[in-house]
Amino acid sequence: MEGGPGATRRALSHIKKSNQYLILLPFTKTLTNQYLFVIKSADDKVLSHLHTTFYSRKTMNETVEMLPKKTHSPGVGYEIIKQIGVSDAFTTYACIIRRAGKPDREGILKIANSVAMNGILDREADLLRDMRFESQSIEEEYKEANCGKETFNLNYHFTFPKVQDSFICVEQGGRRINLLSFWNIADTIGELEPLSHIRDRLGCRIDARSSAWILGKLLKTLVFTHSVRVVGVSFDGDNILINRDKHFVALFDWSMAKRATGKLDPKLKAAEIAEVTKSVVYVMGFDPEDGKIRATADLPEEYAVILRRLIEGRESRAVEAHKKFYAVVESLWGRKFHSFTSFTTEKN
Amino acid sequence: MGDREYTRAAYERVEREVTDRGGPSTSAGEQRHREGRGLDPLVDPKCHGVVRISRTFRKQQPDGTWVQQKDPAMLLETRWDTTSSMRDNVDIGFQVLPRLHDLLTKGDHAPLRRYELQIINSIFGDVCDDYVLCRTTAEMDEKIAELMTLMVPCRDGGDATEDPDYGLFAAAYLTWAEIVKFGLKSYDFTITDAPYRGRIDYDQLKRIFGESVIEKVTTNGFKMRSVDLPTTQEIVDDLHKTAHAFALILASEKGSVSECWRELFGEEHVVVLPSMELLPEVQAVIAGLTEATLSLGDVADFLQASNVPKEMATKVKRAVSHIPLGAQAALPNYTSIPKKGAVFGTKNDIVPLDAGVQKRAQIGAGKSNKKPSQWL
Repeated sequence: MEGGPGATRRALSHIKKSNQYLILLPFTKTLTNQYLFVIKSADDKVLSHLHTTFYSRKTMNETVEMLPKKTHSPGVGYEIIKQIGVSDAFTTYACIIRRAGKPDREGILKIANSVAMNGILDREADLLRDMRFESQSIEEEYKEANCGKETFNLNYHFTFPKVQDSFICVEQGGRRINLLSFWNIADTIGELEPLSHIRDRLGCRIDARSSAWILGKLLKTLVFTHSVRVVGVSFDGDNILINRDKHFVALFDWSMAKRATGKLDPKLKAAEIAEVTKSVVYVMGFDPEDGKIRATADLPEEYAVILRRLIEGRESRAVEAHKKFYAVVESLWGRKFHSFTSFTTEKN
Repeated sequence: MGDREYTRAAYERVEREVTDRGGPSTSAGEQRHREGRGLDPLVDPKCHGVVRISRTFRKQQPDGTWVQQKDPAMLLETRWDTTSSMRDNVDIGFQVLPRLHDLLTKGDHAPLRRYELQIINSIFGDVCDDYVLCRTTAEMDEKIAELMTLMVPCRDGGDATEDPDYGLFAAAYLTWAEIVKFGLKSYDFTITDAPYRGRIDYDQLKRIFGESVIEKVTTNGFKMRSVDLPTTQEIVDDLHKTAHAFALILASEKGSVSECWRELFGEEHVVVLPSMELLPEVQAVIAGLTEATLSLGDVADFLQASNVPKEMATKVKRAVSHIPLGAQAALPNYTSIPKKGAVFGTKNDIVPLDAGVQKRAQIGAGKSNKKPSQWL
């Protein structure tokens, strides 16, 4: 189709009544007042193109306002692999995420169990997006502050999923869907496992040096979340995902996390530091509630001391906790890479 | 109630009258008070039947049935603290009224565009003042603005604790909103920077609402005895049953004030206002998030489209992100309230005669053309 503004409006009016939507693209760079509308169906199939000319931006803007609003980002689709979890508020699936022009990759689909639960996923998606923006800002500030020095990337954004899309799905009864990915830390969902599964499902425990990199990364996560005043995320072992081979750690579900309105209560911060430590201590084979973390052949007394200190809530600043923890780890083992090591619990 | 509508031109006429009179927006009401004539009955809580009514205009047909002439009435009450540092609130409320109305009813994402917006404004001081409470009737046209000019704000300090409790009492027990009968909730905002009293006094109740206040409450469908009045906590708990009620606290106040209101309203229903100037935007965003016409991701764009700077838009979003999102949309009758043109057997019927046909049409309209291959 080709036409001027009048023909375009008539075409748009017709398209608006049908189950179609449009993407507006600049047609060519040399002809700045020519535009291309790509008309797609609800399942992203290209139906036709409309070339049109607008002689003023005002006219173009008025026409663009008529465009039907699609419920999710053009070109983002999904295919379900299997259900992996269900809670009171939402159900979680492993899925393939499709993005236009990019290879399909595995991701996570969360769908609200009812319209009443849509807000929980809305809040999660918004928070995750904000956190990604904040982590990028912090990374830039860190690089500027350390310009010329050899530094590592902070990579705070590795510790939480990326929101690929969040939308109300009309076909699923108006329920909200969050499409999430962990592509920074795993190529497939199978590379990630919940920390608690190591003991609960596999009957294994991890060695002290493996626990050190896991807990170190979790404390680093707390440095970030406390700095941006995000609290309420679960640090239960079921919610901590690890990539054994690549030494990545992330938190899976952020639906209960929220932004605190004022300064964080030191007791709350200490409790979160204690919670992450307990989750790690659990998969080391100890009972985190009885506080009896004993030095063993592979668990030096100094390491047991710092673990007890964190569990007892004696550190309320994540920055300090992280610093003290790594001071002990480096004094014991240096900064050498240690492959993930676990034993069956008979070997205790 | 009637078939009148709010227009910007009508508001501007009222605004010109205020400007011509000179002084604050409430100079008409304040002059009347100085002359010893008391509150204008249109803003006196004890007048006009005491119970404030919000209903949609219906017209009787020759065959005796009643046809709804407009979209269902949605009541929004704003309760302003007008003491001490908040003394100019009613003037601010008057000036921002057109912006509030436009944000709520105009545009694709307007939160309340599927309703006919009806507004009650009330102002409160404390029991030491000449008038503890002024409360308008529910209006949908330029009368919203006219009635604000008849109020008599305290503009003074009084004791440190204010008395919004009587305004909350009125909202909970002396309000009849048709939208509640349809199964949804109205909207209620209290704007303050001071703590509440925590209790109400029968003598003050009679002073504000008249001798027959308890009778009015019971006629309105609530059980109450003068010797066993509810506490403010009980009042707010009842208010939550019929309204999406929020306390908006000024950011400049001490943290203890926000905390006491959080204990009263619940954390999800207290919002710290980044700026008084952005009150209409905050109210509109709260309504949009509650109606699910806005998601959190839309808030910044919605606000920036209203010329709110990006940084302030982010502050507003963060201030409201904890409220119960989609609370109105989650109510069972959200998609089946009677629309303009619905036919009723009597003026007071809640269910239209053609309810079955309307419901099927609405269900059909909401149904996707494409059947999902997999229900998740």
